[in-house]
Amino acid sequence: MGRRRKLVAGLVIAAALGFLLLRAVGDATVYFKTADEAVAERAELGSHRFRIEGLVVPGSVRDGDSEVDFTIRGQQGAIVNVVHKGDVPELFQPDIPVVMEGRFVGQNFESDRILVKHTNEYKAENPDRVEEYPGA
Amino acid sequence: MNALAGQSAVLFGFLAAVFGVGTTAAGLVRKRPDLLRRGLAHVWVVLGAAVVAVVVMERALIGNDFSLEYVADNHSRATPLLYTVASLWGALEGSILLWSLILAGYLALMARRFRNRADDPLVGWATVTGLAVAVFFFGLMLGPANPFREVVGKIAADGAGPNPLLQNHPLMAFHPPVLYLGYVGFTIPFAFAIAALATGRLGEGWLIETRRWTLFAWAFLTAGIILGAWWSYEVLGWGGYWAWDPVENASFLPWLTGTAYLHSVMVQERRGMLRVWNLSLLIATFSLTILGTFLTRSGVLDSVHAFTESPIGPAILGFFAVVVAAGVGLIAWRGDRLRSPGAIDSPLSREGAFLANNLLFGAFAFVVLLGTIFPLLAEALNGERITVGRPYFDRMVTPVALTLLFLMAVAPALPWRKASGELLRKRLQWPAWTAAIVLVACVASGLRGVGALLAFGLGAFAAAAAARQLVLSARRNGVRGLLGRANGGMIVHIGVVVVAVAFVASSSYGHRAEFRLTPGESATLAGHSVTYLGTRTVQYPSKKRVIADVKVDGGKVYRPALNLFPNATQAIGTPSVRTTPAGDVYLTLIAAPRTPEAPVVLAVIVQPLVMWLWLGGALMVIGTFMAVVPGRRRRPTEPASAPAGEDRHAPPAPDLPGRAPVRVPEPVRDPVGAARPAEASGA
Repeated sequence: MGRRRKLVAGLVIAAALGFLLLRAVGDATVYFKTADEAVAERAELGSHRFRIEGLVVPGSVRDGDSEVDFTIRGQQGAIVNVVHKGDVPELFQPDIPVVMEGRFVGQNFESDRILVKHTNEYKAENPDRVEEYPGA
Repeated sequence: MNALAGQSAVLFGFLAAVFGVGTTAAGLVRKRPDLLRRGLAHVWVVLGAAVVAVVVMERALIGNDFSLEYVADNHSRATPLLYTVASLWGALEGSILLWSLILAGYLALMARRFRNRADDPLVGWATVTGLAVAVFFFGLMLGPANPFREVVGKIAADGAGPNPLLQNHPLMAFHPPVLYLGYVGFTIPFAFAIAALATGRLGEGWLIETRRWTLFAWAFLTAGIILGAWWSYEVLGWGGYWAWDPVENASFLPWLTGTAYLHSVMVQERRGMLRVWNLSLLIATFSLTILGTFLTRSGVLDSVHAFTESPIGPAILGFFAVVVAAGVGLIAWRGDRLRSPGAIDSPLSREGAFLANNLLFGAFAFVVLLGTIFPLLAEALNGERITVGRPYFDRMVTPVALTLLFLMAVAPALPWRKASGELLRKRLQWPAWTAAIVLVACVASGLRGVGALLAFGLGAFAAAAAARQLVLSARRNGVRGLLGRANGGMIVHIGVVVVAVAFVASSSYGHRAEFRLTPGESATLAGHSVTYLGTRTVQYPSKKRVIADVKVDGGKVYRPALNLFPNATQAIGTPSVRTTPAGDVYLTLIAAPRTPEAPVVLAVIVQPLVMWLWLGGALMVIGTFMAVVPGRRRRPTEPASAPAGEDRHAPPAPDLPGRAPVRVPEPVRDPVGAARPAEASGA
């Protein structure tokens, strides 16, 4: 095989692998929105799955049997009602920042996964794993 | 007092490193051996300064000197001694200090090892490179990451204490130093790679000098990663040990390129090929340790725009850019000397297998790197904040890992140059039978899932191939047959198979459930019953602990707990695990009861074979150390046809630096290339 043909074959293989890789990244990508952004982009988000961040409004947490209802607010004051399926961790207290993964259903954000956002130095060192609270 | 002593030590170390670089560089330029020797001696001053700085910091931590910002932020009077000592590496500034100490230690070992060859330019350039890295890290401590910064204003009577997660398990005392011993250890091979490029002595001499350094660094990095996974399992309470999060990836990336290097370097030693590739891999490995530090220490993971908030981010990124630019530039400059003396004869050969191994490890590293930095790129380019989830890594990594397992089985059976089908059949016969039997046994016992079954079958294939090599070697040479690189490598391979099988089994056949239980109530998951007995609260000096008593399978009582640290807003769980060789029952307290009679929420995770992850990791490390001990092998620089057993009396290969009596242009001095009949390049 000539040098040129080898090069072309290599490029084709690299391009194909690159395409596969980019598609895989795209498929596994989850967007991250603050409560303010989520409310503003409500129409575009539709029923897409994404992560939402906000502060738990004190006194809004109502513990049900299989789900927990509460309200989060963004920095600019946007309010989102959250229905979380499953139990919430002990880490979960009012007025701390939380991140949920789920989608809008009607007026509510239905989440099945809660990630509690830590505020201390360790976050920078180990962000996802520490925040991650495996969903029910 | 501590601040002054510490800062002086850091400044002293910085200056010693700067003068060391200057003196050695002057010696290289003016060809003055006395300057080279004096330059190398600066390493000892750097080590002394680093030791003093670390001792001062520990003294400040243990002596509750809250006038230091670092102590006030990371220590409290109530912190137990072990965690007080470990607080040295609990936060950014201290971990840079630990890094500097380990770097100085490695440089001192290098100076000792090469003390009789200090006037060799190769050693000189390596000294310049190593000390330049030290200049950077000591420089960080003088500026943006000063561990001895004093508190402005009133000095508090007590500090905040370490991060709760970092004072919850004794592994915290071991995981970071071991990991750093691995990370920093790659500085020495990197320094020699740069020295080889700078001096133009690109034969195999520098490789042989740094072979053991690389193996040591790799062993520590492996141990560090496994300890990190273990810590994560024992502390974080989600029942897993690997989440593909950027911090894990940061330690895994240099491991991948380092592993690729350990394999491809054998091709260069044997056949003089892949020179550019090997240099690139070493430079990539070192660069990735720096990139990992950048990713984990600059805050860039929170937001692309956060990393400029602390000056350390741009500093590390700049250093990374310098390392990459210097490496690529030097390789391009020396391009003409790096041409291989030969080409691979047949893809079905040992060197062909090593090449495939390297392509796979390269692809592996690229996949992980892309998944790690893709969110950063996306945010930098269009401001979207995204995460790349676990599905990406699982989907992309699985085929690569399975192919690597297959290669691990076949490669040791392949001879150099060219394999015949018959030879391969003979050597792979019983490993293949073992794989088939294991596969049938797995299916017969009811295991399902194509990926998992493939992993078990290929794992058995690879383990049997490695065991076959070890048995043959031990039969020839007794216990010594287990030593040396090839045999130690086979032990490492078996360790890798154990880790892979445990990883696949625990992630494919695990069960997880959450139960709301009142005292006396039981629940069952995957054949294991758990009975909740009650909770109690214990007050410790540093924390309050809510402990639940849970009986597992009607036997021993396990005690998952929640810890409330006074200065933290959230409770930190302490899981409790029943470990057996067959599998673990993992208990985490999710929510404590409001009243003694109220129900608790308890997560139960049942996973098979988890213990074998740690044991497999230990086997990998043991195998690496056995690989470092010389076994019965000929010198790799000698032609493959040299009779075995003459190695001890053989004259030193002319390429070894400092012993070369004549200076001849490099390609001719390459003993491997010279000993072979000339080969036509290309095909």
